Amino acid sequence: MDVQLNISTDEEAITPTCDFTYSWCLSCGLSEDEANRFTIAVSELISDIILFAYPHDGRAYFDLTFRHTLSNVEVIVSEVGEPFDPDRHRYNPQEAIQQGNFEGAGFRLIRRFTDEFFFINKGKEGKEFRLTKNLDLHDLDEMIELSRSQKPKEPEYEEDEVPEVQFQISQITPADAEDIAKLIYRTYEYTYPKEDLYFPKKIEKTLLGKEKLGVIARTEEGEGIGYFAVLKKEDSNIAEVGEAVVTPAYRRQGAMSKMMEKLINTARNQQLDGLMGKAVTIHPVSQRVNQKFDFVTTALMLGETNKVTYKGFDEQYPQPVSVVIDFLPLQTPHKRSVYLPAEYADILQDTYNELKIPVAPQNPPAYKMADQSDMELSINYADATALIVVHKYGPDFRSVLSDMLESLEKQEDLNAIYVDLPLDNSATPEHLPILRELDFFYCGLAPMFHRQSDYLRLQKINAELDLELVDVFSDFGKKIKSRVADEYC
Amino acid sequence: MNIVKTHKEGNKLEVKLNNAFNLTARNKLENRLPKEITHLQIDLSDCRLVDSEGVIFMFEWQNTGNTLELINPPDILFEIIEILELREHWNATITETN
Repeated sequence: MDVQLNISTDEEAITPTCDFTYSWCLSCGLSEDEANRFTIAVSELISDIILFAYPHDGRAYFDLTFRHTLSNVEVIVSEVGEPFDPDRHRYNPQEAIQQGNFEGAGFRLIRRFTDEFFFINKGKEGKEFRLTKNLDLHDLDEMIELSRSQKPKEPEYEEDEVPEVQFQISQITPADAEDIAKLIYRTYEYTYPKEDLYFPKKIEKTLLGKEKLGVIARTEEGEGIGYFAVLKKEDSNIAEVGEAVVTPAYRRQGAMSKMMEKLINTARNQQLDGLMGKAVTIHPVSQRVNQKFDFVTTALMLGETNKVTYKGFDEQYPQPVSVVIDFLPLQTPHKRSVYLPAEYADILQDTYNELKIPVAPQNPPAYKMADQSDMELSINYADATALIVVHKYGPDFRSVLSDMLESLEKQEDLNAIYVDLPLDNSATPEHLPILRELDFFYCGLAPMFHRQSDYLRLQKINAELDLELVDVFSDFGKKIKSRVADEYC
Repeated sequence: MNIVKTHKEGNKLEVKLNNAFNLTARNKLENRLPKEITHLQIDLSDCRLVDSEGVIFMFEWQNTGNTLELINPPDILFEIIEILELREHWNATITETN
């Protein structure tokens, strides 16, 4: 869960903010020393903001957002004070010693005490500083070794000797958390990419928080043999198909299909509007399964995850992995008004048709621009990607977006940057050329992805990709790939 | 509350800092420093966090010919001194009582 603090530019706020930061770091799993170093980095940053960001404003406010995953902690500091670029304030020890000029000392400490330090200039929308620290997964490594030594030996069956097993499927509850963790490591050892699933407490927490919806398959003896779950998106009433596993000894008996059926029905009964899944394109297996359940491919995201070695594939895949977005509407969609940019109207309309979502394309009227643009940035450090979601267009749209991109590209070697544009916003068609000038091209439709609305997803790729290696299964997916390839080349 | 105790004796001021030696503590300390003080003893026994504001204050204090005595400074202080490349010019007296 994110924590957000709105801090006054009063120096008395520094110590309590740092006290909170330190405690929060500890509770996220940082060691005392690392928590202290990270807290010092935060202290340096907020001290600089208090001292220098608002020279003409006696009392202003700025925001701190605390986020954490199993693998890192992140603090985002947002302020709208005077323009500033930390790169122009480099520490010089000779000047410090000889002239007492310590300018840039704080930023040197920030860089040393964090794993990533990002400065995002958002133009008139202000500035964002992102500090991250990776969590030491030493404990997890120990667990891996332990589990390998204790891992129960799985029976090995020839294909024609698979035992007939009766199993029952039920919706998961917090009490299933430990069985799910066991199921994951019995199946994948510790190669499953979602590390949270090795921690029963983490699973339990997501179930108690209603963030996860899933089913578990059990034998008549109660042994867990399969698990399938979707994760609800925070900003929309859809969920992502995220976690699926069947113990090898019980595969090829329809457990996965039955779990998927049960999960779709459960999600539908819970009034979710849709399910989406990201299926890798290094092989067609996941896409094929999705299509069997009437998912429609709506987008192709190039370079979405970093290079990976997948069990069962002899060679390492030679480039960042692209994924397709597969989507399944769960309720009867209402007819919606959309503003489709002329350049993509045909393929977007075709995608809506494939999804059987009725739309009424509108001609953009004279629209009223917001006072300022509203854009939300999230960075996936592990996969070297970023997503910018546009909520509102203001007169500053071009400059804010350009500044954000320049900041991102100057500081980090990102494989891909994606931008979501709201299709229910009449200003979207007119703003598309700005994105095209900035080298963004078609990615696809992101149905109901944010605030219950549909978005046009564009992408800008910084890695060299061979699209021949991108394996798209469905016919419509191939059509999207063709469109993407035309613009990528 | 960053400063928990101060004691003045002649030209010496003894200060005990709590929790953090940061911008807040620095400003409070500067406000409590009479001109006649030339010897500053800072007890950092309960101070976990020291940032650049604290380090710069101490560096400037000793570099203007004053005496600086630190009691039980945390390890992070020396790490910051190394990072800021100030070690060769750091002359504080260190007292360990723990």
